[in-house]
Amino acid sequence: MAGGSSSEGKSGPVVAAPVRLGGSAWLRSLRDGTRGFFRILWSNPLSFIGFLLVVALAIAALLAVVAPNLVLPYPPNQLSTDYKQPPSATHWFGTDELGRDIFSNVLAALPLDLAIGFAVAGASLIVGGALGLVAGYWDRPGSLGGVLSVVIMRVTDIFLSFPSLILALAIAASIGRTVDGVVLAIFVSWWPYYTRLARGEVLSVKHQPYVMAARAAGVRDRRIVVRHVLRNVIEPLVVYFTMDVGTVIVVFSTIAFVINNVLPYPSATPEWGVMIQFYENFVSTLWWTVLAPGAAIFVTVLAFSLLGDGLRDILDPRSRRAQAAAGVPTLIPTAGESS
Amino acid sequence: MTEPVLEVEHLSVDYVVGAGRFHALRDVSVRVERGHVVGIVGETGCGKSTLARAIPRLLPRPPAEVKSGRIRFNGVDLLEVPAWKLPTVRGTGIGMIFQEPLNSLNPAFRVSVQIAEAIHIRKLREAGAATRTSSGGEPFDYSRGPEVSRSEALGHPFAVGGTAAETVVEKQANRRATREEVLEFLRLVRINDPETIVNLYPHELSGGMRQRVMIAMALSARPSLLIADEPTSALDVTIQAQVLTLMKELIDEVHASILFITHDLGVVAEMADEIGVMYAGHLVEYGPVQEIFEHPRHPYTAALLQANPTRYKADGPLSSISGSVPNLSRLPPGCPFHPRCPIARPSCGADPGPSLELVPGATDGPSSHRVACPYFSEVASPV
Repeated sequence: MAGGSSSEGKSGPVVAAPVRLGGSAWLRSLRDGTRGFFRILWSNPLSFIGFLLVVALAIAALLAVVAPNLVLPYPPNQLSTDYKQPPSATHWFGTDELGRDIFSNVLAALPLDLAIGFAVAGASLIVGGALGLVAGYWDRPGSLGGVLSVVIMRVTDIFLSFPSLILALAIAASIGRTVDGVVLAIFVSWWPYYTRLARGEVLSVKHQPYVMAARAAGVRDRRIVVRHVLRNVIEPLVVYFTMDVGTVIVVFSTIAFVINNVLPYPSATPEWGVMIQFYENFVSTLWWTVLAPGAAIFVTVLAFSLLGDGLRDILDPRSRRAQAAAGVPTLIPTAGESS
Repeated sequence: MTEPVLEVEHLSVDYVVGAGRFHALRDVSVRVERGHVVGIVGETGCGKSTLARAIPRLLPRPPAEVKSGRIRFNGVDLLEVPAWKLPTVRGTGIGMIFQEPLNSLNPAFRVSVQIAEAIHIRKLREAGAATRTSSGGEPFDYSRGPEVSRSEALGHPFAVGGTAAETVVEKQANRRATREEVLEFLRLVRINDPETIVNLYPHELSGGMRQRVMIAMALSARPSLLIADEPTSALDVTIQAQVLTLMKELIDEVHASILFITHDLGVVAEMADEIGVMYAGHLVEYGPVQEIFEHPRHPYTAALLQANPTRYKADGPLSSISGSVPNLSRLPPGCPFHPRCPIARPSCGADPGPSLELVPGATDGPSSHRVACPYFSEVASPV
């Protein structure tokens, strides 16, 4: 609206004038991209809420790591005489039977839980996605790629034939009841889902005419996979990843709940699942001690799920440009004009 | 006589699907002279597109299986080139335009990026060829891959001929040069306002525009042979006319030879110098376009011309060919057309079927009129 005054008065179609700010083309495209990003987020209130929640969680987690004294009202392990307090202004989420502040513990657990979610889902995205890309693109029977593809897919079948939670529990129980051990165990049972998803997407994309066109243009297979195929399968993968971060946190909490002594609690780095396990015995009297970490898990999962929905729109150039076009008038030729 | 750009000799391709074996191409020979346009016509499923994809070896394998034959492109037998060297041949020598303009452009990239990629690949090949020539090699040897580093091959499409030592200034200059070239090719295919078009995504273009961009992409590799696989079938008639006019104009401008695949007789009549008529994987007639239209010698060609709706007379029914296309896994013995042929006789069903013979009266040359029917004199010319 502010920029509209300059283009008023001109006759003819309104063309999005290339605004020159002296920046490079790269900067300009970055700025346009950011604008489109927010415009799409705005257009869907739920994904915008998800985005805000994720940003808030990220800032809170960062602060909890960098400046715990500023954000945590009480040291997580500090005992006090305010024991068994229900939620109040002084203790937002109440206190437990020894007077520890639940809010401080929930907040102190946030960085660890987020890190676990991103580590497992991220590693699965990279490893599983890459394997799925390879297995999907080079799958000609009889060739080296075909053999590799069969091996990869049979291995994922083996992993997928176990319920992932049971498999992760079994691995975690055998390789050690530490945070690292549980993270590794979840990852081992997690990547096959990404392989499956990526392979399925690659199989549909690689038969698209534009992949054939790229091959006809002399683009080498490796480049086709890295540029043309990956760019078109990344959208469902990233959306799945975003929603998966929350799921991983739930699974970690579940395993931490089931297996004793993954993390000693109370400790300097609490964890939501461990907290729920620890306060399980008080659920009928001090219900807030269980509800608070449970709600934290819920909100985190919700935030990433909502953001994931929005990302689906942002990553698809069709909807991205359609949304951008709705906000900014651009001249888009619709007919095949000829001279 | 100069060497032809493309010489397909006795090419046979099968599709192996489950237990069945479909004879998609049987003993097909096509020759494209330098600067000529060769049209291949036939009904759906006759093997036209298989031929188009077999030449740059784009057929998926399996199910496709090349049984025999040779595909000589600029003197090199493409069937002998090892698979990993094929991109070199495709990128520099053969350009393709596909039937589906809706899906032939990558939906995730802007027009500029896609054309720039084609230019980028061409420059990589040219750079590779140049270093080889200077080191005493042949002018261009397709049997050897380009000598480019991995980082170059995977690099950004705008980083033309990029090396590690390339400065930022050089990169910017290269980008500008590539962008200019992209605009040039868009102007070549008569796109109005290319400065706007380059920044659009494929879904923001109409079918005709996309097909123009496809043509620009194919041409930007400066191929010596352009294979157009039904480039106008998905477009409506007015856009079709525009694209055809464009291609006709471009033939003179870019000096490319074209293999034009279509089911539309009107289109070949318009475009081609020579045409080949295909039926059930066989080439049944081949020759200069005018002769075939005026004096078809094969009963199938005659029937096809007869069935052309432009010959529809207000009082009569539309003419069609009785019977149906044979199942490619169970071709009839002898001439594949004989079950539907009006002039067939018992001997037509005996193996081996007729092969392409020179029509009497035609001067013997590589592109003279040939027909695969011994009883061609009985075929009536359409009025």
